[in-house]
Amino acid sequence: MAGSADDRARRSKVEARPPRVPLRPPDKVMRLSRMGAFFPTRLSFMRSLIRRLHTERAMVTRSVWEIDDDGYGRAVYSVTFGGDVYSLVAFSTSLDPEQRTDRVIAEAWDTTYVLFDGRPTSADLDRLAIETPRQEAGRFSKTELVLSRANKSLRLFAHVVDSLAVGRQPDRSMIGKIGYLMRTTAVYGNGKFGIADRLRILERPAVNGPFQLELLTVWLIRGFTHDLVEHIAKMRDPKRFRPLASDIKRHLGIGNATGLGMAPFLVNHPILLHSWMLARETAFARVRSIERASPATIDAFLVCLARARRHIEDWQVDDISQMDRILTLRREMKEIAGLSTQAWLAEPYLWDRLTAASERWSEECQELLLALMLEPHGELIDDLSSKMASDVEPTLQPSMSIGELADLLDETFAWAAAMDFGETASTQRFWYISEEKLEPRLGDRYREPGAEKELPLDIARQIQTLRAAIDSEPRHEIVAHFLMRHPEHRRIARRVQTTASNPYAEIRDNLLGADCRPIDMLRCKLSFFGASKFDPKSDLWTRITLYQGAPTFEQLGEADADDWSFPVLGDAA
Amino acid sequence: MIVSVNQIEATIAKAAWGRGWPHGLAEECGRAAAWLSTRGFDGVRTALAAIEPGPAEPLIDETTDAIVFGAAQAIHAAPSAYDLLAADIGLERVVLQEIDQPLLVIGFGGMAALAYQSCYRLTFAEGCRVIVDGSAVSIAGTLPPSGAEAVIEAEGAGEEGTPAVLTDMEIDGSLWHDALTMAAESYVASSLSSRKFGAGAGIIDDD
Repeated sequence: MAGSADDRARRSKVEARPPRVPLRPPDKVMRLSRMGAFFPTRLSFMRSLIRRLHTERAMVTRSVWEIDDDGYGRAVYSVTFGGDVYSLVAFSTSLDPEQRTDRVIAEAWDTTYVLFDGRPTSADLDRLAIETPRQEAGRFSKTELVLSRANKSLRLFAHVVDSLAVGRQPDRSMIGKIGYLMRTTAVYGNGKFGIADRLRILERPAVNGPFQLELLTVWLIRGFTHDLVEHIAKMRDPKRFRPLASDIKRHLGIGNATGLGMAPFLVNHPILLHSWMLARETAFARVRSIERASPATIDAFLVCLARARRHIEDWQVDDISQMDRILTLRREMKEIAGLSTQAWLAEPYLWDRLTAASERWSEECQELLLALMLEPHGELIDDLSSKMASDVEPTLQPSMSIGELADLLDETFAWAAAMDFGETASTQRFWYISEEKLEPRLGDRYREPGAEKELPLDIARQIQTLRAAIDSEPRHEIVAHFLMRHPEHRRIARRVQTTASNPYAEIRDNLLGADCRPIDMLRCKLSFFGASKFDPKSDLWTRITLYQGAPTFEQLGEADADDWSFPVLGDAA
Repeated sequence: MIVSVNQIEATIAKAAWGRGWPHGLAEECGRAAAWLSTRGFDGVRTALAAIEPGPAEPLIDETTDAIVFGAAQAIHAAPSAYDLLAADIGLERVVLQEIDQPLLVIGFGGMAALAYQSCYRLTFAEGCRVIVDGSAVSIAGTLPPSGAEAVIEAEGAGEEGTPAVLTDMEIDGSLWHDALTMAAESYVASSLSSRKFGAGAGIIDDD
């Protein structure tokens, strides 16, 4: 996909000046329906992580493998990345079926993990053997960077063991349909439960991007699941055992079950959300600004399009609403393929015309096309990956006058003022933290207790309240003085002052409304991670697949290490 | 026990919110407690003591060159004091009388110094003098107990500072238990219904 020297020169020319095509406006992008239609792109965090691991020629070594014939015990994998060593410490234990739940309320798991900073000693391993399986209840230290756990996919794990143990490969349709051997049910970083704060890795460029250590952990866990299933099968019948075929192994990602905890993150980190969105939209605008698409990029796009069509054909879910969207998407993808004639492709501004043409299709299709258009343009857009981190906290501007604040609200936050919170349905829901293992939950304000403890995710409503409160204040008054008397507005005042210059910081929808689908927020965030095969279990909960098609430990050094968007599992060779 | 910066910030913020402090002040209280803790002070204890009674109606007296907070609750009065001094409106000083937790006022000063890239001088009526910027604090004399009066003045531009200094923050187990108990006041009690429907997922995953 590198293209010719002419291609590269042309791309550099485009990159050197601002995109001709403007970025899509936040009123279009920052809507839940669209965010809930996002797909992973080459800027997604897993993709950029694997690219850097590949570039660094990182090698994973397995220094400890103390796993018994039934698959229980411990293992350690280490990788040197950015000059530092990180080690996944994995524990596998027997799990009572009654305790098998993907939710935060779980107390036990099939497997538990920490990502250790450096190489653990025997004493570290003995300590972690006690604490890691306890997860949230364990005691950790600053050498533990990430804490995680995963449960087996009962549908697939046993089948793969049974198959390999008798020298057969597992059923390819099952591999394609399920796609993982285990599901992670939580991946904690940044100081949670006493593990190391993010501050510890701030000066490590290799891993200080968004969720890089968490996603490194998940990639290492995926490798452990491959080794574990092969080990159990081999121990069952060493003579007949055959290892996983390499293409099947590569197609086995790692599952994840995700609930409401992800949604407040987007609201509580507005500048970070803006950074992610801005990078994505800038990349899209750069590509759409290309006047003459090179034959190489067109070919690469068409290859991706064909692969994505097969990927979408494989994407089956039980959720009726999402399955309807997938069926629509499949029909629309046929139309895209029909549109892509040689004559049409040869006209100027191909990518911008394709974007314009996509307006007739679903948002799911439009966002898929965005991902596909970005795919062959790595040289033009990959630099944006390094701009997706932000540790900026909202800061108050105390000298701003009330008049200036009012103008700011009226001009920049008109979308919030336009929301109607008068109807009961518009405030039906409230977000809260349950006392039960601090599980994030959603309640009905008019039927359930607890609304007085709701999380402050109602940004638009808070903006309206602030606007009403300053209406009676003198315009020359300063914000510091106003907040001295009205500290209840401190948080939202600080927020609007900070996010006013960050147009992609706020979700421009009502998060309290009866028709709000939190799963749209989950999909948005997970797409930035690089997740695929969204499999909603309700409006609040989804399963996903991570690292499907990504290189395994052994394949990391191969030339196609970055070529795993929209993976498909082919027929047996 | 050892706790992380993130745990201190989050737990103290939840404790403050659970006790009725506004979200904005609660969050900043968490950061102030963490700022103090990472610099060797007992940030958690002083924050919990300030949080515990909940917010009271502030007593504020304004003159042309000073603002005076009577019966000053650090969680409310300190951030306001630093905001007002940072606003550059000709205000020379802010006076906090009968401060409930003088140490916490310093913690908020550290956070304000980071945010506003400034430096502050606190002069306590009992003679103790404190200079705080985003990185560190210097205390001349003995920090007075609750009930003290302090004059806060801007001391000019501060250094950029560091957000926090990593340390092994050893916290007394019973104190941390108190913090978690107070934080739990921000949680909603679980019910069979909320357990079943509130998270949008079933209880058992057997596939």
